[in-house]
Amino acid sequence: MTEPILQVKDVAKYFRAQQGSLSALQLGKPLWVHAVDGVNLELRPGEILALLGESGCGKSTLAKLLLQLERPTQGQIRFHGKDTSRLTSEEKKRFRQHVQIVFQNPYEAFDPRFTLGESLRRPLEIHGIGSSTEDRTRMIAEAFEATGLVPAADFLARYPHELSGGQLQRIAMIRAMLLKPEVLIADEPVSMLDISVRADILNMLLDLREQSGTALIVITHDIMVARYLADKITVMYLGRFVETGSADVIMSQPHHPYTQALIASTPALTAEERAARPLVEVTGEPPKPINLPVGCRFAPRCPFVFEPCRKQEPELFRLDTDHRSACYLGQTVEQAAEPR
Amino acid sequence: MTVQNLDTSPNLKGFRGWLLRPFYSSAWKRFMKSGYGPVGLVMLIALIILATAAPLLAPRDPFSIDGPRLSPPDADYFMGTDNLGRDMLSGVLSGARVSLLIGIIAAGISAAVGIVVGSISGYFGGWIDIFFSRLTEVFLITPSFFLIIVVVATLGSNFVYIMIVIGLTTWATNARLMRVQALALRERTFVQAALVLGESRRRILIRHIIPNGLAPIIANSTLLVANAILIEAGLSFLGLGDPNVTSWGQMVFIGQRYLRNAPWISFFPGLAIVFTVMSFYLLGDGISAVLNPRRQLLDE
Amino acid sequence: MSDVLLELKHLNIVYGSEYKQVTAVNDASITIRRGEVVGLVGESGSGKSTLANGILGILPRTAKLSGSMRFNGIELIGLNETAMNQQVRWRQISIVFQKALAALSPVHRIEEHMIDILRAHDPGIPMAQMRERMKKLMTLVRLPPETVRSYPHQLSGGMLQRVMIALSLLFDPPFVILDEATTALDVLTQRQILSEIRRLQHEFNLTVLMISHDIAAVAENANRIVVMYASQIVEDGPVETVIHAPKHPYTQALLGALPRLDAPTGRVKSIPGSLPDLSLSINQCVFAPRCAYAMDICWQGVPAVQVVEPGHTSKCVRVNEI
Repeated sequence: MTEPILQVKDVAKYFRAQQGSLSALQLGKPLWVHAVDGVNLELRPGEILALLGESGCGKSTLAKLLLQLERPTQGQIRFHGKDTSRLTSEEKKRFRQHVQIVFQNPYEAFDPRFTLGESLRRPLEIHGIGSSTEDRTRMIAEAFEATGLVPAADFLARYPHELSGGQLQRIAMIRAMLLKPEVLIADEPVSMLDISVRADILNMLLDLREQSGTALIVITHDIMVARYLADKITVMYLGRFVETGSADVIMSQPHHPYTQALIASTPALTAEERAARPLVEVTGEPPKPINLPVGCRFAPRCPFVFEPCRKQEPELFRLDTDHRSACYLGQTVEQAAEPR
Repeated sequence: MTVQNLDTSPNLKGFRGWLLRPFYSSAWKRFMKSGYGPVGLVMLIALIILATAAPLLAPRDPFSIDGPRLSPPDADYFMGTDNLGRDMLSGVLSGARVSLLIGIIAAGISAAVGIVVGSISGYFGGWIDIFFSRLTEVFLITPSFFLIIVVVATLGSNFVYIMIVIGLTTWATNARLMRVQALALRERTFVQAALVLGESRRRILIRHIIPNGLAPIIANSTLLVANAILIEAGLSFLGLGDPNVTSWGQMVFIGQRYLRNAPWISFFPGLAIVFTVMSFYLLGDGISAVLNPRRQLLDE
Repeated sequence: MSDVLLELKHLNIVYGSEYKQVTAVNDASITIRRGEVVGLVGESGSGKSTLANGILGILPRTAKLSGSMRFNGIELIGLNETAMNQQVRWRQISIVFQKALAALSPVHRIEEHMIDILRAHDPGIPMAQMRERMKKLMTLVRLPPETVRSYPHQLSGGMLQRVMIALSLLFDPPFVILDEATTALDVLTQRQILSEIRRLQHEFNLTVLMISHDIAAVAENANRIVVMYASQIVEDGPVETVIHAPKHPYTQALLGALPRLDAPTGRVKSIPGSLPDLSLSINQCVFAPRCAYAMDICWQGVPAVQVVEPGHTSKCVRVNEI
């Protein structure tokens, strides 16, 4: 078993809640938003992990924590065993090269004042990749041509506002890939793109793992994207992981009611697909992660809620090797007592 | 969208190439296409030429009090004369140099200090922001005119001091504008991307935050040019101005008393101030187009 | 009373200034019958939203409509604004937009919005009647009646969309347009809202035009699907048939771009190329540059509409080979 590249240990991130001016004057306890509330994760070389959840579940905050755009309130994130908040500047530079991101909005991914050629050369300069400007330009042009952005010289001279979303997202991926990172985090990489261009990006992600062995964390709310790309799926709700397992198992035998509801709620294209989906109805809306009630945070909306749910928050119980779920349903006493 | 073939610029070599190449750059093309920019540039160049050539163009010594007093514009005195019999035309031409310098340099210093303080404050946040915000507030609250009077009264009425002091007391608005921009830009995706790609914070500030946040500073600076000219005028009115130079502001102030019976005394220098401000405003428009390539698309 | 509610015949919508004319909708012909739920599917630039806004007459003044657009026999093109407002808009045809927060004024309560709309289309209506109506509508969309006293920002996304649906039903219109009505909601809420809409559609036998880029959502909720590409309608047919056996290369390619549960192996494919320039006149099949089936004839003129079977049409000459 190889060493993990990234490890997340009991990480939590709390933000001060925005308050109206009057309540801000109160001398009470400040309200905290529990954006990420205690998660654990390991990412090994070449793995593709999907982080599945809806808006407000904390997945984007977790991405920022992994990239060191935010500091965890509690817990540790380790890169090759070293705490990421305590890296030397050498180590930090290496971290920056090897942990990269593709953002959700391709239109905002580049400084509008620079041409794409300039934007892509800069990271190569920073990390000393390529021997000269011409060399770097050549590398970029080759990568463009390999993904069908021809003629490359044209695209290099363009400004971001002149290109379409699909083209920009491909270029954003190239920008990250040229650094040959060990880890690429893709935050909703296709949700803002038209359906007919999504496949390019999805396939580029798969190719990245096939050809360079890059590990991926794909953040998405779309089950079909998660299933298409990932080896393992982790479902997130209100700042915690509620279920994790291999993609096949999660799709075919979802255990946690939220996972079941997600699968059930995703529209199915054909009657056959619809028949394969669980029948779960969920009521209500997701609350804000402030002042959460005692017990399971999904209890207020859960169709299967029963007594233990409101007493104490369930841990991620082991259902099988590589399948864990934070739900009391069907737990035996032995399973509940097992270490995570 | 389909990407069409770009025009390839001519291959320029040698000294002529070095001279002409900036004019083929995409920045220059954007400037020329902005519509108002070139107009502003032409106006400003005209002003600079007039200001430089003033000693040659002025028909008389602007200080000489030989002429008839309060005489309206006529064939002899194109812009009339003031209460002391000085030729307005010569005065306006000579005043150009002083007023332009005051406007440009004061606004320039104000913008420079404001940009530095505001961008650092907004981008880095935390204690730095708290400190610089309080500092900015001090300068915002203090009536700058009184501060200027105090400094000028202490250091002397040299117009160089006056320019610098105006710049150093009016930067607070620019700092606030820049801070707001920096706060917003800090959260934008491409800035976060730059951080993840390994760019140092210092370079992000210089390469991404400041250039993208300049637009309101430019707009504000054009107003500041006019403001600086008028502040100098006010100082002259109080007797604190540099007695060795004429300026438009001074002339406007002198003419205030005669607005009813000899309006040309304030009118012509006032017109000159308006023309100058317009030229900076239009130039600023052109500079915005260069700094923000996307703006072209919005205007089309 | 005729069965046909909305009939579009060779509808063209052109936007433009002196510099540039863009054909946003080109030769669109659709017939919608009472009680049908028609899904209008297309990507960005397809013209689907323009079509919807054109039906309601809420396009900018620079838009020019030609062709015919008949609702219940009334020709809508050229209809004067007063008649449109008093008789057609909201009384006969209403719309639910994508982003409620953008459509509602943040400084007015929900009830003020409702009163505004009620008065705009029925000026003399008495207050008591209005209050009665509002209460009834809130119950209809399963919201507590006090919700009308709230401001938009106090309500969640799902509640706001319910409010938008309630607003659209203020005058009991027979025809409702949903313009990406659930796109901005999260998955679970989307399912709730769509089932509310289905329920209301059954209860009132509403005719619905559901615009979406999400083909699966349309597949689950509509009985007919109309596919648009670059301003033209390329395929029109029953939802099950079109999805199982698409008869236009674009529809086929679009379906091939979706990750599916029932096709676990193999990769999805993008459609190569990009949208054509809609400011130029098109005298060929609009999809030809990106089409895997393109032949010489496709470049020689706009293909005629082929009938696959009654109720299913496609604008492709090779319709039998797909």
